[in-house]
Amino acid sequence: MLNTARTASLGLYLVMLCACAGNRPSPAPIEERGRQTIEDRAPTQTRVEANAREPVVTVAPSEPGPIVSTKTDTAPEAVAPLQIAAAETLLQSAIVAASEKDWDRAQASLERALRIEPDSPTLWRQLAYVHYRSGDSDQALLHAKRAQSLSAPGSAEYREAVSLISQIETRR
Amino acid sequence: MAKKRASKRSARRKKSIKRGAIVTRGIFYLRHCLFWFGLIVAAYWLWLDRQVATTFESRQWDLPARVFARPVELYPGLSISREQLISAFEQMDYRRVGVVQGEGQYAASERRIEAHIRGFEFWDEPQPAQRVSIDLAGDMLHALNDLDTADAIDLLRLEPVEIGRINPIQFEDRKLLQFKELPTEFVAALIAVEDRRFHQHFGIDLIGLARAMVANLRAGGLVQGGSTLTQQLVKNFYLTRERTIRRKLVEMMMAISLELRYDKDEILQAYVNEVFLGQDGNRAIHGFGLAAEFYFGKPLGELDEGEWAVLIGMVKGPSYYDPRKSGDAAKKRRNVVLSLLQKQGLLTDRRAEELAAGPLRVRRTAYQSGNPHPAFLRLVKRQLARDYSADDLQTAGLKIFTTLQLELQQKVEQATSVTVESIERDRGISKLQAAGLIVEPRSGDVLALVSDKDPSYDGFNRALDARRPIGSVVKPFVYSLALAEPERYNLASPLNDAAVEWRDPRGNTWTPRNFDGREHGRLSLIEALTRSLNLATVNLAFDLGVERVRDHLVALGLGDSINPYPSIVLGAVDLSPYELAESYTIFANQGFRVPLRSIVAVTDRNNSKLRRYGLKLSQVLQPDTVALINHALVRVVQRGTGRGLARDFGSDFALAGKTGTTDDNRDSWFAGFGDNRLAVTWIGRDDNSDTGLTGSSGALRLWSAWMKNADLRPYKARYGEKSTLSPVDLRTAVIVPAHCVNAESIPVHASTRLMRSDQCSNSAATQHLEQTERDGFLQRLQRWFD
Repeated sequence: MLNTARTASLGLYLVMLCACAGNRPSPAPIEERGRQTIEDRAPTQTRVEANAREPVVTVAPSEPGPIVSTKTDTAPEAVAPLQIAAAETLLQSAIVAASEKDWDRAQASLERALRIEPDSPTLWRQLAYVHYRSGDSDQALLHAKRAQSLSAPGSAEYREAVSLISQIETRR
Repeated sequence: MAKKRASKRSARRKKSIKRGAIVTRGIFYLRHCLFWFGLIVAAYWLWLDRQVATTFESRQWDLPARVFARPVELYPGLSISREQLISAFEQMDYRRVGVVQGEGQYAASERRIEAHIRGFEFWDEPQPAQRVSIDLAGDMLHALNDLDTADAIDLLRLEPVEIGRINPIQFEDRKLLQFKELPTEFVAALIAVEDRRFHQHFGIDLIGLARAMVANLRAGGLVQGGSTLTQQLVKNFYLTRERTIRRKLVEMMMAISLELRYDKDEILQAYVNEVFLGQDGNRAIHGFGLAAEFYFGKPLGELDEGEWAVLIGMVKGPSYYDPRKSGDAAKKRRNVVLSLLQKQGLLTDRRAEELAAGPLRVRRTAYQSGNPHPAFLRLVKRQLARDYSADDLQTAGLKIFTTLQLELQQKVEQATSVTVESIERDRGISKLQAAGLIVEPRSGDVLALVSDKDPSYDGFNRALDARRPIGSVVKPFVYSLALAEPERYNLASPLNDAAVEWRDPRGNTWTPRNFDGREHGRLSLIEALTRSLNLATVNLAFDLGVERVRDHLVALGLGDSINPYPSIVLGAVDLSPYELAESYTIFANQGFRVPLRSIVAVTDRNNSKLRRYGLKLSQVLQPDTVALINHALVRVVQRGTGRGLARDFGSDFALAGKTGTTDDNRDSWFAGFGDNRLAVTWIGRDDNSDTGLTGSSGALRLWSAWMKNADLRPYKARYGEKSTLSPVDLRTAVIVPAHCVNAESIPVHASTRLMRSDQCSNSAATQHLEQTERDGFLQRLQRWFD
């Protein structure tokens, strides 16, 4: 539980930073996590610490270079994978669009993916992140709650959604 | 004498000097005249040239907004039948062939369809043209492959079908083509027929002109024009239809200007888009792009030489050689064109003869001449009117991408006419009307919308504008206020179905009655909702407080002007089918209200995004409350007023829904949903008279007929983290052992305290108050999957 909260808060730290960062982000190297999500891709400019533990992501300051991952903690529990490859493809397009800060295109891709898998908590949560990063924290919160309502209580997805909700609420 | 002679000579000299002076002066004047004339002509030409320069480049044809249905997306795992797939290709005007040889063709065998997909410039991600194979397994798309590379394809978005245009009253319509989109053979044929020396001349063709003059002199009349393509373009672009020498000269000057300023390809592209090729009511068909669709139902690139020949032949006289109205003339003209092409070596003799012997193959019904789904288009226009001016919509060439699921819309329209007729026949009644819509609840996308039993009717839109009392369809909203307080109310709470009287402030007495006119006494809340009992509901509302109920309905979005009278809990709330469907998204989405939308995005004529209409949520109820309401709504369909659906769909196909009937059977309503579809249907009469129909005998039948073809998936219960399914004896509101005859499994909220008994019989000795314990994570997980 602590672990998940930590990873989620890391995700959010990155999100917050990205919201302030002016640089065009560059994709992160593939980390231990097999599945990339929009929050994983968030670029950083400075040294970030997750929940006051060991440093997780470091980047040469002011230089929009590649993100160096020194992530040492274990990968979070696997969230429910998307059932259909087409939805996964669209999620990846959304990730690319989000990395270019093209929120409209990221949302459009996620909404297309939702037409294929309307009940996927992953997709709703990603949509919440895109809303958050595009500056709409009201819709971000609602979409995160939607992700929660579609997750099985106690599942990894459920916990991710819950911690996202509390993060958004505390930072509003 | 000498003097005389001398004077004579001098006079002669004088005269000759005088004459010389006159000549010189004449020449001088003439030169002046010519100079000034030349200057004037030059100035005029310069002015014409300016005109050509400024208008040709910035020339933006007025284009009406084009409205598209939702594109069909293909991907492995999609549930789609072979028939649906074939119908999708037919909608897009693909040609069915034995072996696929070009774009816009498909070949279908039993389990496999091969197609050459046309590309489409979607704003977010262009879809390239591609040769693909689609393998089906049952009603499931099993595999999707690129036929050229043999690679698997994850996702393919087919071109969206155009469902209408937003037209001015009189207008020119065209489908713009780029030069590079024109087939080279077509260009060669067009030049061969209309202007053989197009690539040699400089705007006017002197040789052609001379030939035409000789021909005209010989014939003693005007038989040949000798106009170049450039001149024709200038004429159409800038000039009136009058036929004078002056106009001809202006035309020539402008043609030369145009040629000096622009290259041949640009001129040809403009010509191909400008040329007038027929009339369709108040719409003028311009350009070969639109003409190909209008007459043959295909893009220009997919026409064969015979079909080109028809269109090229029409340039000479679009109405005289109209292939629909005067087939013989058009055929003759086509064959003239074909033999011309043959003489110039652009067609082999055999091919020309073969084509000349063939039929015209014109598409019988005019392509997209009307708006086949006027009710939906009205909804689209209404949404557009908020963001765009009428002028923009009629001229700016916008592309409107909507949510309409074309195939479903067509089936729903058909089912409406058939069902309304059969209800009228069965019941011996007439003049019924019907309206409603199907929505994808998660996104709020309107997939289909009907506003009349005659789908082509483009008048009063009942789905959007007929605000009627919604009757018992309102009850779930009322009960949701009670169930939002799980400490006080639960599905087993006893209600009193007994007569009441209410006096309004003006002293009028209101005495509601049940549909069957009887009182049913004490029964559980879920039973009262299942059987849609009015008296129990009114008593519940009094218990809750009518003002509070009113405020709750307003907060849920059922309207701002709801009266605080108890009659609102029986449906004295006026909503249109559209508004009701939006309100029911609350139940279909676990308490999240999703605004309905008909437009996803709007692009300009160059396919760049102007506006996107994204998903917006609001939360008006908690998921735990909705889980309880939905459990009751499923029960309505299983054994209550909605059980007609259980008959149609099977008793193990879970659906949630509610019927509604208003006073004197004026309105018959049904609102219901499965997992992926939500629909509201209404049947009634325009004059508000008695239909003799209840929600079950009218609107429910229509709902059922619609949803049979809607790829409906069953309702999936999600009880959230706070509710547990418990066996309850509803007569006593006591949790009993699951094996008891009277035990019914209902969700019970964690904050609800119910009596628990370890015996089926309801003996007081074994009853004890006990809080329903929250069970372990594993059980909850299992429940969620149940």
